Amino acid sequence: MTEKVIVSFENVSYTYPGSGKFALKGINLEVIEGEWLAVLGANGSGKSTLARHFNALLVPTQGACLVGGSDTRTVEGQRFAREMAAIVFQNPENQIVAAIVEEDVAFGPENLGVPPEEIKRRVERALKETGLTDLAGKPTYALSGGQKQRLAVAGAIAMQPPCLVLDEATSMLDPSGRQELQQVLWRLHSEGMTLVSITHRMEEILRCDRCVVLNGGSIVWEGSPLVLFRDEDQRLGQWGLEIPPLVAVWKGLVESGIISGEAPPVLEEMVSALCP
Amino acid sequence: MSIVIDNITHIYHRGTPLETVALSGVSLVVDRGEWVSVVGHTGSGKSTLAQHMNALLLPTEGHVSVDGVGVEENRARLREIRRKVGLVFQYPEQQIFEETVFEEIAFGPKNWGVPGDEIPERVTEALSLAGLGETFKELSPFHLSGGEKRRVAIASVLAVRPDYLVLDEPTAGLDASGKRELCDLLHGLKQKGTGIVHITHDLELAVSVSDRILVLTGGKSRLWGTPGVILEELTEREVPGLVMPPVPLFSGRLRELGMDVPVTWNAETLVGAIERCVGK
Ligand SMILES: Nc1ncnc2c1ncn2[C@@H]1O[C@H](COP(=O)(O)OP(=O)(O)O)[C@@H](O)[C@H]1O
Ligand SMILES: Nc1ncnc2c1ncn2[C@@H]1O[C@H](COP(=O)(O)OP(=O)(O)O)[C@@H](O)[C@H]1O
Ligand SMILES: [Mg+2]
Ligand SMILES: [Mg+2]
Repeated sequence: MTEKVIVSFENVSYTYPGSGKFALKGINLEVIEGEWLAVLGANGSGKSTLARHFNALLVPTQGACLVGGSDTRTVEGQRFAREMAAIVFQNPENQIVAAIVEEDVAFGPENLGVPPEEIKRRVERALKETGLTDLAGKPTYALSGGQKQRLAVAGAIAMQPPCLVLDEATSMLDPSGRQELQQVLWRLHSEGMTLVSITHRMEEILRCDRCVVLNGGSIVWEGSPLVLFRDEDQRLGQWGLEIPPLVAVWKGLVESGIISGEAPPVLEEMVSALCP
Repeated sequence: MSIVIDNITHIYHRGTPLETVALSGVSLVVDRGEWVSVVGHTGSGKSTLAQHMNALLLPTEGHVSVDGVGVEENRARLREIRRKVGLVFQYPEQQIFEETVFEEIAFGPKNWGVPGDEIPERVTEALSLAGLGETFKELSPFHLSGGEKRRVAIASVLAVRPDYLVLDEPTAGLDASGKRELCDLLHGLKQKGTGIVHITHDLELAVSVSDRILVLTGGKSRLWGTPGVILEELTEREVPGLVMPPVPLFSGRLRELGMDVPVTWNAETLVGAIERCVGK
């Protein structure tokens, strides 16, 4: 099976106007259709700058970003980019456009020209998956930070984009909200959606296929998350990343040969590896 | 000297279709020089509780007092209470608006009537408490990193020299090193005698930094005590609405399946116990 590249960064550098320093430097990265890619990095490493390139909100200062093969500096490339990728940004405040929760979720698909009965179905499903069904008729201003973040995710998934990019989209959620979102992402991924999880929280990339680490605007590591979690070169700390406690248990058990390390450090898999 | 929250209830939009009981029958005490964490799920009432501590919200029922001054019967003294209790909102960096870090930090003391010639000293002191060098003064806050902006926002509250500091989810969005640095900063303030109220949904973090913890679920107080007491309680029975962190959850599951490991929050302890069980 040939892999289809849907977004490609070719030696991309980006400098914010007037800042005089690189926010991204020499990024080479291909996003393959259907994969779950993680982009990890500390605060200030360039994650959000990278995210804004996916839908051509930013275009490279040097190098090129191709979406569906088309350069995002062209009109066609920008149109492709906006159809290809839905992005959930860090701050949900700026992403809510409608006054009522369900109207906000419907906004994206309406703009895409989706038929009304299909919109209704998608809105219901997106609200259910993000745990917002009971708030469907509520005014959006009355939502908490975490609820707004769920709403931003609901709006993005209702658009059924080929590629969903989440830039620290769970920062305001509590642990159960985070777990629920991981379940939703896992299902979307299994249905074939391309996912890009951008985060400094390693808990959120346990099930992803591939990850890259950003540091100072450059990609400093690329590979399987299972290799990253073992941290054999002890570089995670240097990159401002921290192993979550359960991953530390997983790592300890892999190191002493008790489990193989081929299954991800998620609770159910670890239980079944130990007590088959 | 303490903040005393005594059996308070808070109802938003009372008597309208939007009526919401955000807190009911919640009590806690925060002494100066003590670190209290308030933990709970989204919507459990944490932010509502935080805003009662400096009388930004008044209780629908029950009683709040700061260093013996009750908020309801002393409305004339609300200003004094608000000066004593510094409130750092969630994502405080979103409310930064001055052109330089100096102006941003000077805003609070000016507003509280601190004489002009004392302001530079206040700003220097607050910067140093927040772990930012003097060189930051002339920078634009908008060009700082997320972690630095948050420190500036905290410094601007510290410049008022509050006796208590209430922080609503101060580590949200910070990476591992930002989180550690912030906790060190709060620990230093606590040792100098400031009372710290730390609102968080990170139970693992709360257990490692607090003197006492209040667990809220659905607007009600479920547990209140030292980290040791909270751990013991949580190990023995589930608290509805509260998610156990993964390591104790994992050890609990292994026990249910017959493995002889303790219920523990410590990764190393658990690995050691599993190693013994499987004879490694
Ligand atoms: N609007 C902006 N103007 C100038 N510099 C910026 C802007 N946004 C981000 N930066 C800088 O670019 C770098 C990367 O930032 P960002 O992409 O936001 O990182 P992350 O999302 O990983 O925290 C940082 O040095 C940051 O200060
Ligand atoms: N300004 C408000 N108006 C109406 N309801 C509110 C308001 N603020 C919070 N609430 C409701 O009160 C409850 C507690 O909210 P909050 O104190 O923000 O919880 P937390 O900070 O733990 O997430 C929630 O049901 C929330 O929807
Ligand atoms: Mg970012
Ligand atoms: Mg809150």
